[in-house]
Amino acid sequence: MKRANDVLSDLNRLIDEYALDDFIARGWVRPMRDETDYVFDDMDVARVRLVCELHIEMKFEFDAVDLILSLMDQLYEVKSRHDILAQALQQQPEDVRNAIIKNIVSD
Amino acid sequence: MSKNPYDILGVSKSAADAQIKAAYRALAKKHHPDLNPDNKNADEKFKEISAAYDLLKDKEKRAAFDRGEIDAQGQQQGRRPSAGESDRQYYRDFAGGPEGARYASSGANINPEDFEDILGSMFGGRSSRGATSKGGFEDMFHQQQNADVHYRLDIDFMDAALGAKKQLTMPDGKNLKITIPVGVKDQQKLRLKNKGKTLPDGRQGDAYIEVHVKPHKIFTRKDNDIYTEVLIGIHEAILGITIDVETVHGAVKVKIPKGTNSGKSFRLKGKGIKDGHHYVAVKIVMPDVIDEDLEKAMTDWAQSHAYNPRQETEGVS
Repeated sequence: MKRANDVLSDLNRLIDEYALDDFIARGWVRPMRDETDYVFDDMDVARVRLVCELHIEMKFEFDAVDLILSLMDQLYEVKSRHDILAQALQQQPEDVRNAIIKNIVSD
Repeated sequence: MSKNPYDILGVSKSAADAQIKAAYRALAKKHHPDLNPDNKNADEKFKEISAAYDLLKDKEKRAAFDRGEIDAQGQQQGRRPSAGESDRQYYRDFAGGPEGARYASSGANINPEDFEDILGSMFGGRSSRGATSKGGFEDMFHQQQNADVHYRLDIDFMDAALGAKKQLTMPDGKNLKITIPVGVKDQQKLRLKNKGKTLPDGRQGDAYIEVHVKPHKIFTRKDNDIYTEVLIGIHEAILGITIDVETVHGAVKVKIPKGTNSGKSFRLKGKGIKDGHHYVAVKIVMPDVIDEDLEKAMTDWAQSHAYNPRQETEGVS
């Protein structure tokens, strides 16, 4: 778990604390918080890095980053559901799996 | 043997910084691993692009590479590369796992045991339990969100460029002191820690101020660079002149050399916002009235000189 200052150091001060607050206010990054301030786990840090690349390096404007993240989050959610379903199908007896495959292919 | 950074970005050895930046942006957009979750090669490709750009955007490193002093990884010839970027974790490394549900669009945790919910949401059916089952983190996060308050603040261009201190009166009559950071962008949100609402359990939310930057009469801003235009007369364009150019840091003397063309831009290094520059473009204007003296001088000159600026393009088609 990291504090805002550690995250900014990790990013070689590519952004300042105001930009990081802005990312949070927009909901682009959603760190947890304790009594004193925000705490960032590895996923939050990876997300801040991604937002920096989109917004600072690739120059996508605020609206475009909103759209990209929204579509990306939907994509990962669908992908996650897909993986769970695929896992469930994998555990079925062979005749059930074959029946499903036959159904998909014949459609 | 690793690939040449110029080849990786698809630019020539003589490419200008702006061309290198544009090439990097285009490739990064295409190959970023988080935007290509199922493409296993995206990771390697993006690393290669980033390393090439890191080397070429740095003037000293680029010159050292061109002289053959460092290799494509930016290492001195003969040394082994260090770990560096290779241990980077991308967002996609987490998004697929159970913790990824925190950023999922529905905000709901996916429980691998709960097929009914999964199938329900997948095929548009209805879940018997609804979609309100959220973890402790989600509850905490949303409660915190509710304790936050949001405001909008219009500020002058110069305050955004140079930073300022402002006072905002809240709906409850309290005053909030705000420090506008140097170089704040239009629509950027500033956070005032613990200045939001207080929840019944004592938790304190934050206040977020969305800054709106008013346009300026003469300055145009792009990132941290400032652009202006300066008018000069034809005699000044021909003979050259030193003029005062207004920048956000005050007036700066700029020498316009003899024979400067319209549209020529001069860079005033470090005179933009933070580490940005000021670019001033010259526009040549005619006097309101073309008097006899000017007409005579031009006629005399034209008669004794065979200058035609369209010489190279005339008769081409």
